[in-house]
Amino acid sequence: MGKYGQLASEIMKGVGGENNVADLYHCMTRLRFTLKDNRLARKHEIEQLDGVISVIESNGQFQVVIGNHVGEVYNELVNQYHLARSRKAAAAEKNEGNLIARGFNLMSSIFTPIVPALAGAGMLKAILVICTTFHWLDAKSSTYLILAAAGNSVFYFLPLLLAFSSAKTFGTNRFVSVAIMGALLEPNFTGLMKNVGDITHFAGIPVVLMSYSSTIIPAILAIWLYSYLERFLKRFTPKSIEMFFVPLVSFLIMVPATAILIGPVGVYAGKGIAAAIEFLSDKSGLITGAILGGGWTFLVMFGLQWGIVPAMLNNLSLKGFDTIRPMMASATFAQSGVALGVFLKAKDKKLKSYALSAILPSLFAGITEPVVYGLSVKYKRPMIAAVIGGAIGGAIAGAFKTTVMAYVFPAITTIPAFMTDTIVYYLISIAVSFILTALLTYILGFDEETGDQAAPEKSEPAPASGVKKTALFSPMKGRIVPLQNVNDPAFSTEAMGKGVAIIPEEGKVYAPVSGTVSALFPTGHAVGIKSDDGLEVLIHVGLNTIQLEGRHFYKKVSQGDKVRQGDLLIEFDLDKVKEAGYDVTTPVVITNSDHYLDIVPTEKNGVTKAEKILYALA
Amino acid sequence: MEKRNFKITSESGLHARPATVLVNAANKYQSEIQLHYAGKSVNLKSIMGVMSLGVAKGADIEITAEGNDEKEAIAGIEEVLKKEKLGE
Repeated sequence: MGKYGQLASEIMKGVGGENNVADLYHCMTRLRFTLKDNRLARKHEIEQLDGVISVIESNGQFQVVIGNHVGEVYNELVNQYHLARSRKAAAAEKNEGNLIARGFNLMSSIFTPIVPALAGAGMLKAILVICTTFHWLDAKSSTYLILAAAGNSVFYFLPLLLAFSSAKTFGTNRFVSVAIMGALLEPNFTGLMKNVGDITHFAGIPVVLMSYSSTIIPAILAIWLYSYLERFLKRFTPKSIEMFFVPLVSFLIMVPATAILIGPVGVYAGKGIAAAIEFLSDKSGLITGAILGGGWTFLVMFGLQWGIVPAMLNNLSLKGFDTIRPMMASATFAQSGVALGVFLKAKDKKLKSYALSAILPSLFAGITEPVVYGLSVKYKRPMIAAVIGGAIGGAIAGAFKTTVMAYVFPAITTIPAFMTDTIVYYLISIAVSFILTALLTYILGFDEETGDQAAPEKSEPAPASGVKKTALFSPMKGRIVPLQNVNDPAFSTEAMGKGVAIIPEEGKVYAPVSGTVSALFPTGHAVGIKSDDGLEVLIHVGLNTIQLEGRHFYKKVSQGDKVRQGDLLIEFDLDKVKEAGYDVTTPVVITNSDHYLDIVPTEKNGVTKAEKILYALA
Repeated sequence: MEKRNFKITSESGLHARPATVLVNAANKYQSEIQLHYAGKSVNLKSIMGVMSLGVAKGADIEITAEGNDEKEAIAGIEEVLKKEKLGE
């Protein structure tokens, strides 16, 4: 029983079991149940399930909104239970974007819940670096060591946090996932390795050892594989022993398999890259610098940077200086540049403050994870800026054979280590990468909407994988009623599009999204907004109010105006409209509903302009 | 390209319900269908587009269709306009 199977059985439990189901079919996004007794359904429990966007009761149907994967869940329901396939509706699987974009999206969805921890720990590390630099704190004192442990924990155990988060994304057991990655950080295992690349054996099979602490890709890869293994095992395991048997076999297979499969890839790819860098840096410092400055961030993602670290240490002990570190330093400063660029450009206050909080650790301690995973990977275009800025900075450092005298992380606080005869070139290279990246980030821009999911602690339903959600805020203060209850067939039959209706308590209409006023009827009783990402919303104040010919309505904007969410669009005299004998129920419909998988109302009754009333799923 | 002129007779002009009726009629055809009024042209398959013109009662509009079913489209839209008493 895989992730959809599990979801299916939990949903079935939630609706009161198969005996309570009179009929079930599905549309593009929803499971549409007809229940014998709706009182047996536990709506809130179903809404809490991973993979369920929301639950709607309407037209006597109990609708569970799933998103793209509704077809899989439906098939599981039909396979697991004795339900007739009453009606068929094919749910099209959409694969959006190319492989790289999907990889970035996946990474971003896995990292989003971890980012606050990363940001906090990064900040702590930066503060500690500053404290020791100015000798406020002795780096050998136990106070420092305890604080250092607090700061390091997130980074050292990153594979565990990633395993936990990946397990959710891939729909598999979170605790087993953490335990699998935990085994690779456990002292019995880490004790096997003296040096990276040591070879040991597992039942005769060679295991190439590497350090998994702070790595990123191994955990994501391992849990992705485990999600398939678990699904496979659950299919063949008798229910009576499933509870212990599936985790048992998962541990037995996944821990050695991860070490056997990922170890050599990590180790030999790292060695290969180190050899390539050494070879290249003899030929052209400029090209090597460009590659290291632009590509270092990606090497770190795959845990391949360690292959280069021995080369740096080797240089330092043999020659007394190293030229590799100054080249990759630009990659770090480029990420600081991203944070600055995002800080300057962002309109959203939360995003602004996050970017600001990420600048400090990257500039002072060389900790770039909060920037890389909270901003660059998430918004993608800043990553392009960082690659370009880093490559140019790195090329400068490489071309002038810039040197460093100690093994330090690149940051403002470690500049003294770079005080050789090439210090000028070092300063130029990091300044160029920092400023250029900040500028490019600002110019290239980024889609702030992507950041809507930036606060995972919000109680809103989590978007199912692959579904893009656009939120619509309420255009007025009032009470929500279903569109079906509106006393005008043009709206109640959804002919105009899907949506909700609001019974207003105040004569003010606000922009429900940021966008353009695409239609403002001369009489001012209806207004259409086309949002910046293409959502078309029509707000029709009252029914048949066109007959008022503009009386009691005051337009505050003109057709073609750019508006921001919350801007006042129309004022009207609520009491006068009522006195004139009109129904003031105000339908709010998405007139291009066809462009969306589904339009899902939120479960609110009373709303103000600061609250969301529905989501458009694409 | 097929085109035809109409006079809007609907009390509320081409507002919410009439606009919807017209757009739904247009969406049955593959042809590109445009509504021209007061020097502006909009896609007749978009409710928001049609409503943005603010066509009032008594207005003269022109509808054009271009595509492999353009004749059927114009005929079909004319039928709907007359049947729903939106225009003539």
